[in-house]
Amino acid sequence: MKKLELKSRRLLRTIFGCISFTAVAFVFQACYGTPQDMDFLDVRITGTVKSKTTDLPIEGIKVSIKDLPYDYGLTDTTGVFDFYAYLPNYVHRVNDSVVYKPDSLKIQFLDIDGIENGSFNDTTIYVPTYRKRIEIHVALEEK
Amino acid sequence: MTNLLHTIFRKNETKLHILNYLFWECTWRCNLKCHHCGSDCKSSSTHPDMPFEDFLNAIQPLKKEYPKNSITVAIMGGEPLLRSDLAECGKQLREHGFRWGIVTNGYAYDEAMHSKLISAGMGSITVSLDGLEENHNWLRNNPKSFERAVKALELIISYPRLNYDVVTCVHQKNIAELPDLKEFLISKNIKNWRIFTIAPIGRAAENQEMLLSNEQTRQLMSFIAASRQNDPRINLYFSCESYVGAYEKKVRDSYFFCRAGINIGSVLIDGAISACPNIDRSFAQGNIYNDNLLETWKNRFEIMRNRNWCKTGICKNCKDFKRCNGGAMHLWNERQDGIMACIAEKLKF
Repeated sequence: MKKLELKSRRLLRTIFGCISFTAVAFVFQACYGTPQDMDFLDVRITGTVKSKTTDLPIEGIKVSIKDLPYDYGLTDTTGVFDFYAYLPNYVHRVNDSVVYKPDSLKIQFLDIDGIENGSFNDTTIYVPTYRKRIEIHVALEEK
Repeated sequence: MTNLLHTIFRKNETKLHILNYLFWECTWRCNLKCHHCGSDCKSSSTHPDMPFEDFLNAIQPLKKEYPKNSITVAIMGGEPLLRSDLAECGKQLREHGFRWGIVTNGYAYDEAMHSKLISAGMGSITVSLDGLEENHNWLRNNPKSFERAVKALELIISYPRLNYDVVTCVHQKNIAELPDLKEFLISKNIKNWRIFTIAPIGRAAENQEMLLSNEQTRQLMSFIAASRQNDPRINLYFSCESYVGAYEKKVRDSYFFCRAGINIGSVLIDGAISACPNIDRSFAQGNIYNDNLLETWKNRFEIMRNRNWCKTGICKNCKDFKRCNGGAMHLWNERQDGIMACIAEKLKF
């Protein structure tokens, strides 16, 4: 497609986007597919967990958000965790923009695998402000 | 007027052909053996699952052309939940700037799976529910399938982040219970319900009781239209499987527009590059093991972007051709000698 034609067609597309009936035209669904994912309200939480005593990474720590039963990650052999969490109490939309509430987010670190990989005290930390990604590095005390 | 605007819009979208939606047929393995399956899947597939690295390599060039998060990858099968690396695949898709969701029968979707997938950034999900317990279990060929699918739905609706819908394949045995099924879904707080009829492809082609009569098709359209007009408790809509003549705009939000090859592409189990996975495999436009996915998307797919070849069979002299443009691509086979089913035609009788 020639550049001028491409520009005109994109402009036409924008015009369609501005008139009301096309709100449904751009959000479509393949007939055997899922709805499109147009939400951007989940936050990626990454980081590492290590032992305060040995400075070595800890495997098998459950990292979760207080009061959210399903959003969590587990640390791997290198102590790394990486997961997405939907934080409806902390993130909301205002006039189509994502707003992060200046509230304190509680992230829990729980040793759920018993004595395997060592025994560590459960810890909660507070994240005062954040954007689309939270990165946390913590050291846990041994029991 | 809106019809004219839609025609202009559709032509413009076709010329631009921006890829927004990419299917990945990640496995042919399935834990059910449904009577109507369009894929004709089996529990042990002749095709091995596609390695995720192959898919990821194939989609890399798309990042140059399309903005981050503008493409939703719909992972399907077979049954995608049978892949043990599904969550890891999804997480990597997010990392590379793709949104993702799955199409599932819900059988293997338990709390642990739910947690794994949402923590991997899954944003959308479609679950099949083909009737109340007896009918669903009959069609899905498994006595536990209803119970499992409902449990999956309970988990899904408890998590507001997910864009979800329930899909129901309507056939001769379940059409009479649609009002009861609707009440059941409402009682479960389901907000989005999408209805299909069953196309004469896959296993369904050999099973006549899967296909609705003309009268039943009309009954179905009336049911959807009445529900949309009078019942705000649930958003019920007909899928984009066919142009529906006088029922256009009454049974879904927008006019019929088959976006296969226009905004929808796919990577199939053997690496074939096509549009919706239920389209006849002879329409494949390339293969990720030989071709660049982006170049293939940009420069091929002419057969789906110019549908004049569809003016044959009952479409040849159809006065609605301008509006339906030959209907849904999955209703054409490699002979290209006529559409296999037309709902608008059924509604005339």
